[in-house]
Amino acid sequence: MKSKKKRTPFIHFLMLVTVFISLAPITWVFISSFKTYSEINSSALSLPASPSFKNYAAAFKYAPILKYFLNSAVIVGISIFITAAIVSMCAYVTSRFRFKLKPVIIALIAASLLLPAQSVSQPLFSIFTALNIFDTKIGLILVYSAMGIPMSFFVMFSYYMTIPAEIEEAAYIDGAGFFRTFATVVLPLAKPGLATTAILQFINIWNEFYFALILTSGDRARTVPIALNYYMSTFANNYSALFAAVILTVAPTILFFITMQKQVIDSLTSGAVKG
Amino acid sequence: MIRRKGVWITLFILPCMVLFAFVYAAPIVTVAATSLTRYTAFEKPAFTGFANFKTIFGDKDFLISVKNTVVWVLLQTTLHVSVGLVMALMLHRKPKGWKFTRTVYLIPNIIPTAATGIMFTLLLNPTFGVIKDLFAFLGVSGPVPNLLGNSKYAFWAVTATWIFYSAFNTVIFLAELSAVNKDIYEAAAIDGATPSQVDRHINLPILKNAVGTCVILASVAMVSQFDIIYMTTRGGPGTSTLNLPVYLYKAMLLENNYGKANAVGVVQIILGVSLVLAIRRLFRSGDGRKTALN
Repeated sequence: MKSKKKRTPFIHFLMLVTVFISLAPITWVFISSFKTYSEINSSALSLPASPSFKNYAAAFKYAPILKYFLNSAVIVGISIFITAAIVSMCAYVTSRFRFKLKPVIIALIAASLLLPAQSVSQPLFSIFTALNIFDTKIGLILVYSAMGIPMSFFVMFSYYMTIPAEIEEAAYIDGAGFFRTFATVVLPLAKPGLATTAILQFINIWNEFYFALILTSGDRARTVPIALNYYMSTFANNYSALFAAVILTVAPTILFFITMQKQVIDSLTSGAVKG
Repeated sequence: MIRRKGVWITLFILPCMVLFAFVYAAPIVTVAATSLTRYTAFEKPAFTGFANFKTIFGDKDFLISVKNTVVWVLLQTTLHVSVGLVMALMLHRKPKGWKFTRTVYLIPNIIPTAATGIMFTLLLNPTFGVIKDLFAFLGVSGPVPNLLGNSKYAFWAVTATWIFYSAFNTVIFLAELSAVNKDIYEAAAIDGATPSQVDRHINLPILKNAVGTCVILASVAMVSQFDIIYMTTRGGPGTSTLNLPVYLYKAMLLENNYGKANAVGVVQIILGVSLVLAIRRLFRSGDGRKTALN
């Protein structure tokens, strides 16, 4: 115990450095977002003479940022739901029963965890254009729902393993059918697993950039991360508004994380260990 | 006992597998097949054998993008994972404020990577970024270098935007350590082990598998690293920050050369898989806990 205390100054110094590198960039962007264009240019580290919301007004004025948020919310919400629905079913029978294709399914899904997103993007780009779902919410929902399969599958697979099969057998003896047993007995018990997959899915696709970039071209389906790319080119000269745009786009994610941090941290660890 | 079990199994698997086939399986087959064809946005695929592969392996830019990708994988699997490991060993000693530090450290990893890209573009801007004040503070005279816009520094400037932000790894290591039976630490304390001895002889061996997992995740992430590079340098200046994903993106959407893009995709997949196999070999141990990845 004594020796533990001796090392503390050094550990606290490193912790301080960590807190600094984590918060300094975003704090600087936050403070600068209230400065005027000339204030930003004259000194990077000065405080705003009088906090101004002009940059935020500009950010709202030059891009329909609320629309991007709405797009993101719709796309992410529906994708999380679809992934949860299809994976909870697939992982259930794969974890509970023996059948010929079982090892193939597990191997395929495990392999797809390693697949670099860009490598398959050209066929998706062309198919989506041919099917007229390029630059639509449906297009991104399809990709994101599928992107969630590998990680969610292994989280759910191992979660079902922890639920004793006797519970279902009791339901069958009571005369419940296969689907009813799954929906009313198993699924409620698997809620924590579903919550984990939902959180992981949220973090991954709320921030997803690459497919949103190549599969959208207009405001119709543009998501929040792509809005940043759009701002970057729009505000190339009026960069003071860029500071406000960054804060507007990261604030909801940070608030979500702070309020849900216990669940987020638990999900991240179970996702990595099982996935 | 269950009636028509086979039918139910099929019904339960089908929706997931259909979507999987549509977004993963069919495209992979298409990529492999069309990498052997001349295929652009304007013409249908026509078989040309390995012509695309000959083209890209004869292209200096492509070779540089492979090199940059591999260097980033090496840095990420060693330095980045080590940073996360050191943080975890430190925070596992539960110093005052460890939970706060863990939470704050996660923030850069939670926000959209596109935002991280913009933030560093702003920070490093030579006209109005913090870098200007930093140089003034250090008393460096002369013009402030544009770290992201100068091919001498761009690679390292981009690397700096992600290499230290290793909180996902830290969280995984901390979870692994918190599952350890506390008796071990008590026994070590009774035997008079110092904290660094505990780290070396207890914690590090325990974390071996978790380190393996994190190294694989780091490698996979770097083989497909795109967002930050696109937001900061788009692979430039010149080819200084060009990697496989950016090269593929350019071949596909700027050159409209789909056959070439898919040949790059094949290389990207092979590189990713070989790296993972190599890492698994490196971390293989008889009693290793089984996960999907290692």
